[in-house]
Amino acid sequence: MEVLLPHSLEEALAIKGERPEATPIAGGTDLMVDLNFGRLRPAAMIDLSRVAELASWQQEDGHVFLGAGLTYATIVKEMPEFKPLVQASRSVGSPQIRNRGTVGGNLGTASPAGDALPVLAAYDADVVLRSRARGERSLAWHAFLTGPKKTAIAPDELIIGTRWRRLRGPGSFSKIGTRNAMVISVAGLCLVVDEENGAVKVALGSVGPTILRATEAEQQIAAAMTSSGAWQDSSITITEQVIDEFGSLVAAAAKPLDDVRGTAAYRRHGCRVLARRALIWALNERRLPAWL
Amino acid sequence: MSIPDRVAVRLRVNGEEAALMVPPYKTLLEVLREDMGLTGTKHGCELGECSTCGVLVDGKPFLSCLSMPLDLEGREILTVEGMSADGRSHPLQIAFAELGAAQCGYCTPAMLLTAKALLDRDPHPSRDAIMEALAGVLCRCTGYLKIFEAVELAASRAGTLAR
Amino acid sequence: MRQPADELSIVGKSLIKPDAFSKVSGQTKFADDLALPRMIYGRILRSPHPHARILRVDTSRARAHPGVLAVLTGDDLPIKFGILPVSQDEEALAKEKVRYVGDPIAAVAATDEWIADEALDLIDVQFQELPPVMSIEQAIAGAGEPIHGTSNVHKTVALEFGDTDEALRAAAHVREDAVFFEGSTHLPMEQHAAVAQVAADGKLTLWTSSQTPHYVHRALGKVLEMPMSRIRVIATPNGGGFGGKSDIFAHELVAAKLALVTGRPVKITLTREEVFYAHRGRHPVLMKVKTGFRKDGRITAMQFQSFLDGGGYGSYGVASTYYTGALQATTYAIPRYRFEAVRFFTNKPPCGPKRGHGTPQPRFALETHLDKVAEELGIDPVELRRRNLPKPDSRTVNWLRITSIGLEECINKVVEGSGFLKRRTSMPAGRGLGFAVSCYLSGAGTAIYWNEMPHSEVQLKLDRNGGVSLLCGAIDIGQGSDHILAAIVAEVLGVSLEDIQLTTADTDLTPIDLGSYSSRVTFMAGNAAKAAAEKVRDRLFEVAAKALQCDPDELIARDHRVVRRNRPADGMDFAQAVQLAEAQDGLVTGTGSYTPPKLAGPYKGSGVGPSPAYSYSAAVVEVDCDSRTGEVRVPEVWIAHDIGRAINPMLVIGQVEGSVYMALGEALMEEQSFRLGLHKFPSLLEYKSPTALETPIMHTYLVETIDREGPFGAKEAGQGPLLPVIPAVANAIYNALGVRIDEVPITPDKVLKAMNDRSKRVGPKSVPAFDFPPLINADVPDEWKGK
Repeated sequence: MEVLLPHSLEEALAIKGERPEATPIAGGTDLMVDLNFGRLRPAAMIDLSRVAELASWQQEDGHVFLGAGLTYATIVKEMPEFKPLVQASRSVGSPQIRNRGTVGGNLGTASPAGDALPVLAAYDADVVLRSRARGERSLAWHAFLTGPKKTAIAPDELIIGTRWRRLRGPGSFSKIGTRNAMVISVAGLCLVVDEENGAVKVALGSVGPTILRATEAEQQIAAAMTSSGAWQDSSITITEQVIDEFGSLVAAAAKPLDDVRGTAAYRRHGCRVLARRALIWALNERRLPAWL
Repeated sequence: MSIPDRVAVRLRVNGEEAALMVPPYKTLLEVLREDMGLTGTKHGCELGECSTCGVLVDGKPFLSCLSMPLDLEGREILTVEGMSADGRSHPLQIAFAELGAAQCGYCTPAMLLTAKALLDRDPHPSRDAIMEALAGVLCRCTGYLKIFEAVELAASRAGTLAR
Repeated sequence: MRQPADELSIVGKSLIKPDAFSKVSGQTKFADDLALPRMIYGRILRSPHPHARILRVDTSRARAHPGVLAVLTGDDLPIKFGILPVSQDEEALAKEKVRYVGDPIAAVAATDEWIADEALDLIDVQFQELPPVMSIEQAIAGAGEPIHGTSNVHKTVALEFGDTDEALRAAAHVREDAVFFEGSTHLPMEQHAAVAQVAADGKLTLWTSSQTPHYVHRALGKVLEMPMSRIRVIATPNGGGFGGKSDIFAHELVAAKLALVTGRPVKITLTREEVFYAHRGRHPVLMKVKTGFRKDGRITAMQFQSFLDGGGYGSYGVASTYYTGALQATTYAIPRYRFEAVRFFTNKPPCGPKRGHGTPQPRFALETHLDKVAEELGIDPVELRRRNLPKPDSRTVNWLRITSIGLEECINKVVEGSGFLKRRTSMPAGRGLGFAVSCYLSGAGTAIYWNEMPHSEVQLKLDRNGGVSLLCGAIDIGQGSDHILAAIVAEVLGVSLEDIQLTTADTDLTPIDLGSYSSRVTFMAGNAAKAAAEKVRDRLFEVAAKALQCDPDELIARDHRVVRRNRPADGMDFAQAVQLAEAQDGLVTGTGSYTPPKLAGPYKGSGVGPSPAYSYSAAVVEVDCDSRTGEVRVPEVWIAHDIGRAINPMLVIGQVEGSVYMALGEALMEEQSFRLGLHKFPSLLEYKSPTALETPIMHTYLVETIDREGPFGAKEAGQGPLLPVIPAVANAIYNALGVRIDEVPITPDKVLKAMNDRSKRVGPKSVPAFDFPPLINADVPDEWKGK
């Protein structure tokens, strides 16, 4: 096995163009596992950890760009205003894993249990890919994540990062598990409110073959807030009945299976509970000026 | 597979420079243990799930089972063997011994180093901060309490025992 | 006694244990840390099927692989073995049949672990798959080919002490419950590892991460057909054991055989996944308990049934089976007792002893059962226990001799400490308090193989500078046994801990200790160490008394001096006394041995349960439940343990806290369970054990009863405190939410299911129909006749 060590993005793209079979590796928290387990014995690996361009984030024109090589620990430290993303990052593995694991890795692995993915889905983020031959392209998150552990990346491309339009409004990420660290969640949920467009977005992790959006629930709650005038006046109460219905619609959007971590029924129920809670938190938060 | 190819690696471990020839698929954990004789770093799963193999890289907790040595050239690696200096134990080592925070001792090197990274960043951490920092390092013997207490004891002695 | 308690200078103190600095510096050498010149690596091919016949094993491609030095199959190690003489049913490498996913089939030694792994892929095995037996119900149904022999029933027990039917008929109140306890595994942080080396003269040495080097020694002799004198077994410090390293494992035998075949040192370290298959952990047990009470809450009789899911081989299973019924009557005064049990073979990794061996399951059944009875009788759960406590220096209806009991004091400590009686009726929503008590053994009273010899032996050699060499077969598995031995000898000889040089668990050098299992080392090796030290001390006192012209009885040993008790200025240095003795009759040595008193009752099966002394514990657990998700957190635990005497209170508290931790893991998340014939989660990520973030506040109370049989009065600490915590969690959840989860682990989905079910309960409805053999009507001790 060969380990290739590019020091710049240009160099990395050149290598990937010449050696499309080489496996890119950043923090190694997923790939090294496969290597140690003997599930993966690649002829070559491209170690991206020294590519500084990938390890940064910026904001411009109301958009946020998050480099693929940014570790969860850095997100927690540097991006406090993106609360759901920080909550998801904080719930990844353990402090040691967070020092190494990257969002790019979560995207590349495309596991439905990847904690950052529901947040990107709720943000309606694009995944930015680049190859030396064809340049850069952006795919909507759902076009990129094509199935469990499957993505639309081309062999000569690298994941550069992810980009989304910055939203104004409260939001949260939460998950259910039996312990508080080193958990693959039984169900994970991200809810964000988009005040400008009068929308609520809900994405689910670990309860389907890939990340799911609860579109019916999103429409139901947005409509209920419109008809009650809650978008304009955050002090208007959303009825318990509406919140219950929202929870049920989110639960209905889940496509869970029975597996070793939990039953489908419990996971679906978990989505309902997480959805209700996330909505109530968001509604309460809207009443506070904190997010402004 | 025949005799594996080897690549040259320069590592800085416990303040000393080492030049090694190692197969490129070897993890830092394996290189430390097998090529450098630093068996104080333990393995518990080699899958990043227990943090038993934890070392410090540039002062931060780091899983040696999930990293390739080539990737760490030029960075400062600290293992448990490097915690004591001039024949004197680190205050955390003393506190762990005094309070019985090491039972079987297998997770102890990683616990000590992870705690050291915490104290270097936050010399007087709260109990919650200690629990949070040590959350990835699994221990089956102690129930963690004596470990928390030892970290607190070491923190309370900062300045009096620090080398 | 020459030294009254108030004169103790080392025993009773929280001193730093001798191996502490070696552990905090990373210097302790665990088995996998060993590297020998020319060492090669072994790996084991394991069955991918839960139940299959092996038709053919073709190793030719693996043998031809560059770097491979040897390949073994079942034909190379045909002799069967097993930890118990009655269960010699294992093969190092399976020949005809595999009985669980992970059952070893073939082994490879190669110059590199990576190459050995590649070679495993080149071994072609043809299987004929057989229907697997994955549960107690399937084992009873008996469809398909039995796993061993002609039936899946491995062991049955049917004992009765007095007429329980009659006593139940006469009872004012009778209750029956069925509960299930899922299996769990030890999960030591150190994976098992062994290194074997054959010297030029043909002598074999095996370093192994084992709790029981003596039993490994015996098995190596048998399977390799070598005299034991040509084999040396050295147990390396265990990176956690909890019972998981107390069996004989295939990799130990295979490493030895590979070293014999290749002439090279061979190391085998199990992967984390293999550790889950090595197992020998907690049996899944389905239980039924039926108890009769008088109006005042006193027990009149109990009938207890256990159904054990044993896995693919016998292991310690016969003992585990008896243990599910042994300690009910040492905890409560039960006048009439019936115990029926059956252990089945199933196609899972073999079960065996895990912390509390065979007793956490019935403890869970018993303590939740009593909580329900207390409610029915309108007696508070603490008072119900108090009314049924056995008496010190008594004998149970199943003939177990009890010496000291500190249970009442334990109960008082946790009940007062937690404010249990007042607080439990006024807990905030979702919060609850639960209470339970327990009992455990300080070492099994009978050896694993029948013999009349001591269970533990210690040898001391004094050097003329005052140093003491201590040799003992016991191995420190993290519990601190090295400290206990050193502390006892240092105390008796009046020297300091640093003067004691320990050599342990090396069959060439150290006398026998049966092993670090069954909570026996402090008690048994401790008694042997004390006897050896007293022998040496008496010899020193003899020569010193002559020199000081006094009576030996006037002398005491303290602070490195041998002095007259009433005239401390009158004496000599300890080293000087050694020199006098050595000058007079040569090297000063002493040995001590401990054989437990013969305590077995007059019935077949009475060998499991007797112990020279029993420890007692009581716990109160507080839970914080989320009624929406079913998640349960434990913010606070109060635990009291009757330790007899704490030789080192800090180490005892460490054992208690570790027990509470492990119990909470078992109560709420840990399970070794299977789906479609496969282990659900053989990894540290998916097999959930508590992390630092789940750690509750723990209040630990040590109760000292100074047991007359224990060294300085000490009893066990390593296992007992785990026992009451699991049922206390279940009782607390009932207090919090009004639901009964009669099934361990108590996972969020079960809590939720119970809350949504009209019965407000999750658990087995009953136990399956099974024809137990006719009851053996054992005689009842005289004091129980007519009661």
